Amino acid sequence: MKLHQLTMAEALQRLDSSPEGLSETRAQKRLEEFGPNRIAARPAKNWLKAYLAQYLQFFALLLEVASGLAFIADYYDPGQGNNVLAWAILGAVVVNASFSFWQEFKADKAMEALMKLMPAYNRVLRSGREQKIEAAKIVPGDIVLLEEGDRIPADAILLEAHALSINLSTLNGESNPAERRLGPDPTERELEAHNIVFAGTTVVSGIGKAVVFATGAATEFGKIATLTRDVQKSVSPMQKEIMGITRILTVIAFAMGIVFLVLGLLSGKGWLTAAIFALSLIVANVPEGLLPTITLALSMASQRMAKRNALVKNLDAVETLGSATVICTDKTGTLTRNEMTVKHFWLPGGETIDLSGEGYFEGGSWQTESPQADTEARLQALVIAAEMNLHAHIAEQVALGDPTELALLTAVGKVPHPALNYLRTGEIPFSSERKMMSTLCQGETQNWLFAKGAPEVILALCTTQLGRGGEHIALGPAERERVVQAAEVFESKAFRVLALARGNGSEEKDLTLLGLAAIMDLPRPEVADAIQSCYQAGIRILMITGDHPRTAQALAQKIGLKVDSVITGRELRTLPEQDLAQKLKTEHILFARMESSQKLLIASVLQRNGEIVAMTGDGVNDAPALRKADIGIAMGIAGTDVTKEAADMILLDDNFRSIVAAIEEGRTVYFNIKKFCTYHLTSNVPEILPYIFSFFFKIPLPLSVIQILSIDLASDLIPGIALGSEPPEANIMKRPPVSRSEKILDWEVFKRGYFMNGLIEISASMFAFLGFLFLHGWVYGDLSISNSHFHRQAMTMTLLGAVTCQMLNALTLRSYEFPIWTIRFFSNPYLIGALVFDLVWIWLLLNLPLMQLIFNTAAVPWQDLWLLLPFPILLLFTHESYKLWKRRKI
Amino acid sequence: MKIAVALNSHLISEHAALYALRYAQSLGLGVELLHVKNPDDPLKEVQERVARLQIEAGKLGIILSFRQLEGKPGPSLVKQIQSHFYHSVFCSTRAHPPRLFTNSVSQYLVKARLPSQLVVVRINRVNSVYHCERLGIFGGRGQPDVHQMALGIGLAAGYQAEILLGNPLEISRRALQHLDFQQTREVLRASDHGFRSLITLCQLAQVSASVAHIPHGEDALDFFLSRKISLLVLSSRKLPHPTRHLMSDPVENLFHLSPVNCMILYPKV
Repeated sequence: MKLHQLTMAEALQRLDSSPEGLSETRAQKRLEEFGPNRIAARPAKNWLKAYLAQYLQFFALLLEVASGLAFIADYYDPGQGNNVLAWAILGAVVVNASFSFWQEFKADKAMEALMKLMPAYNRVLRSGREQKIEAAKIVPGDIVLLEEGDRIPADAILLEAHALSINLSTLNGESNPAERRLGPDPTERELEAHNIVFAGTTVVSGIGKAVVFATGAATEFGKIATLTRDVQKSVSPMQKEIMGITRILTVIAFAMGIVFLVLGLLSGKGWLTAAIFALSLIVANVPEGLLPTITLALSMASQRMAKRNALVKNLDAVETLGSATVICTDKTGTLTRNEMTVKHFWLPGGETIDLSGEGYFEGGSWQTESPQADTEARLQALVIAAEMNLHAHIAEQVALGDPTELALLTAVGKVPHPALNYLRTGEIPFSSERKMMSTLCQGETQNWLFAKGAPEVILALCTTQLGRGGEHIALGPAERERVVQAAEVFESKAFRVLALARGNGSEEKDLTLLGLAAIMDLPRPEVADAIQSCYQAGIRILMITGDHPRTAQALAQKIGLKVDSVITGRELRTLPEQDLAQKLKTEHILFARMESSQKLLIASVLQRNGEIVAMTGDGVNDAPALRKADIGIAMGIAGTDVTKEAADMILLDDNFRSIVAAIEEGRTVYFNIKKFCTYHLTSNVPEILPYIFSFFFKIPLPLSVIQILSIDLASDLIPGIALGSEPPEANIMKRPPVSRSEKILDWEVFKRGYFMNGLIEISASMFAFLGFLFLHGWVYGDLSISNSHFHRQAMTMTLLGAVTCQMLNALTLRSYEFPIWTIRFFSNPYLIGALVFDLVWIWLLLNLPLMQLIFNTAAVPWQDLWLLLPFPILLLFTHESYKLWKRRKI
Repeated sequence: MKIAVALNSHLISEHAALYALRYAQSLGLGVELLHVKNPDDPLKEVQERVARLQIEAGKLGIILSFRQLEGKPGPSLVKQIQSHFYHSVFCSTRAHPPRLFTNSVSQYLVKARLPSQLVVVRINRVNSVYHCERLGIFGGRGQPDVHQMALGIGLAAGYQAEILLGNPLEISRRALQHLDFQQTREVLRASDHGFRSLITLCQLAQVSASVAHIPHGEDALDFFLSRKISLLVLSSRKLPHPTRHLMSDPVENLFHLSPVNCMILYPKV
């Protein structure tokens, strides 16, 4: 027989325990046998290994090889500055690696801070004495003591229970408290046994004592945690595309390098010269700043999301959010406040009382459209009955107890009434069979019974109602019908209805009906707007709830959620998958009375339909669905540790609006990455072409390798990073989701980067270079000036030509679509700071001897700086005109 | 012939004995409890365990004997096992990651050359020892071996449980999804080749059995857990030196990570 089918004595015997609990020695032994009461954490990351792994990334390896070649070149031909180049490249590798590692480290630590262990301390009986011990030290055989508000530390079988009910929502998604009772339960399923309490759940009301039979990973909670630990996640689109970009650029870099190496050798250059030339081209082609900039953009986006209450656990989820096409959301707690509120009372005199205020902590008052002389008195009688019938309590922003009782308690506070002088003497507890509860109270002059419960149950026990003038009016058929109709009106608006009554004596009979209470879990105020934003952004929203379809539909209507059809959990079980897939292609479906396990099916079908699915969840059983979804979203407040572990993102405020904010940031970061890819590619052109020109034409080298690195790692890197932090554009949530087939590096990026802005930049650089040379008397074909001060000045002009163009390029690329003058200049302070940095950088290159030595630059006469003016302006004009043309075309 | 159980004052060794009792019941063998006197191991508690086991043995109709040994636990047990011919030897372990065994006696027994097969039992859920509806048998990368099957069938017969055989496939889930029904059937049929004989063995022993297909790259533990097994029966090669880090071996990995009760069988040397 199973444990829950045994008597308490048999269960204790089987567990080798006693009603006084274990002795300390035995408990210690059990701890050694069964291990600590915790779910095994993941092994700690080897951070040194993770840091060193950065140096094995593809770009890093590329640059390491390039550095090696430079060292070799310096060995065979010293004094040419190749050693400086080699060290500079290595410096670039270290900067990249350290940067990427830091992002990974920060993200991991942020997640660790979120993860909480199971409750720290619990009360247990050991050798007959009550003690408070760490939950991790609880072992099978321990007797745990439970009271309202406790989180249950292990699976245990009840030895005592007084009005005990627990919240099983972490295991089975049921938000209604589950009553617990003593005695063997013949049921086969442990989860359904009424005499078992489970780890990870909470005590809603009552007190109890239980003997532990499973701890840590062996609990039901632990088993599910084990199940969701190792589900594989697919590679995100961003990862795939970055790999693709890497491949493309690598192929280009090496191809060009090899081609020019061969050409160099064929043209009679020594192998060293040709190798260095090839090396230069490779370095020029490899955008060293790209990876850390992408990582930082994602990281900064995740920080902005955290400020908007969406904590992203891995950087790839940031990008995936931008592609989300469907959001599958819970109802209670995400779309609603998860705070039951009494909105109306109904009195038998016919008055409907409206109550203001929402939730448990907001005050309020009452009013009615048609008050009678004694409405207030009868209302007071109703709230007194409610108050005497409650176990819940609210104090200092903490609400403890059943949600319905909390709602009633809050409502009682909104109706001023005389102080009570009743003594509660007994209780006839609630049960799901009875659907009511009663309390017995001793008043000053008589004893009272106050009852609340389902209207039909209470009505059946009432013989009178409290009518106008305080008279006890007999409840005839007509009066009963009126009460029933009043209840039905509320129910049709998705209120939960309770009836309240009182009687003399101690028996539940001949009661007097005092009135009805209409209770609702109100929607969050900002949800309606958030939903409309999603629709404008081309995102579908599907509600998945365990609640009744009518309740869910009423809420959907309230918040503007489109519902084309409703499918219940029972219907889903028999619905063929093809039919579900067909419905999910276009319809806005409301899934009601659903089990958590069915979420996994919905996520799978949606993904097979090609959708990018964002799925919310809070209970342990939601974890597999969250792993399956493209973006698993866990609730930060109501969610379990297991769900948070499985999710990609955690809503710190459990609010649906935060999902929308995260999607907005996700899209923004996608387009920002596009912008800085364009920005980086633009500068590739003035880095590569000068080399090619110097190969084919008799001109001195316009730009050295070290100067290329100064562009990629200094003057380009900072503005590029700043572009990645550009705030969302005005229409970001009015565009459709980013398609999975859409590439970051698409034709538009190449067109703007390489062919439009890039060509203007090369023109700027060559104009500045050649203009300077010619202005100072250089003759075409004279290569004797190579490596002279004059040559360095000319190279400086090339460098400055590229940098000044890039500065305006950064400004015009703040939007791919909108003119620069429509964007608030200071809305991206990082970019302003970056441009200031560039100006300072230029000044340093021109004037600081150390910088001149490292970067092979020299001061130029200020009179020659006019050569730098025309092309940046041309670039700005060209790109803005292109944007205008594109807008008109659309 | 008897089945030997290394017993001390720990609850888990009593539970290992309970498994041995079930196994013995299906084989019609007796069980001998072996205890080595040890000042750290209160004899009174051992005797309490023996008394409880006597009750269980009585219910199952098994002859239970108790033998007390002197000396160091590991060598004494090995000497006893080597000098007496036991069908199997059961012992418990407190195995918590990252070590395979934290009970030096079970480690000692694994390293010793025993003429009987050794079953090391890890208890996670106390309640499952008394009641088992389904047990899993997993042979790692290959099929379960004959000794493992014998143990599994014996236990399943004792509990009147059904057996779930884990069959690791060469093909991934993604690849399977691209196949049509016929192709899928062919793939599974080909992979089930050896398992059909094992199913037949189970049927001959009047034990219900089925095969669980585990796609390549997926976690065997997830599969067994999601099918609600109470006991997992594994088989491992005899380890001359039990290793500290076992993640490379899928069988030992399962032994560590499984939140349900688990046994590793070491065939006799």
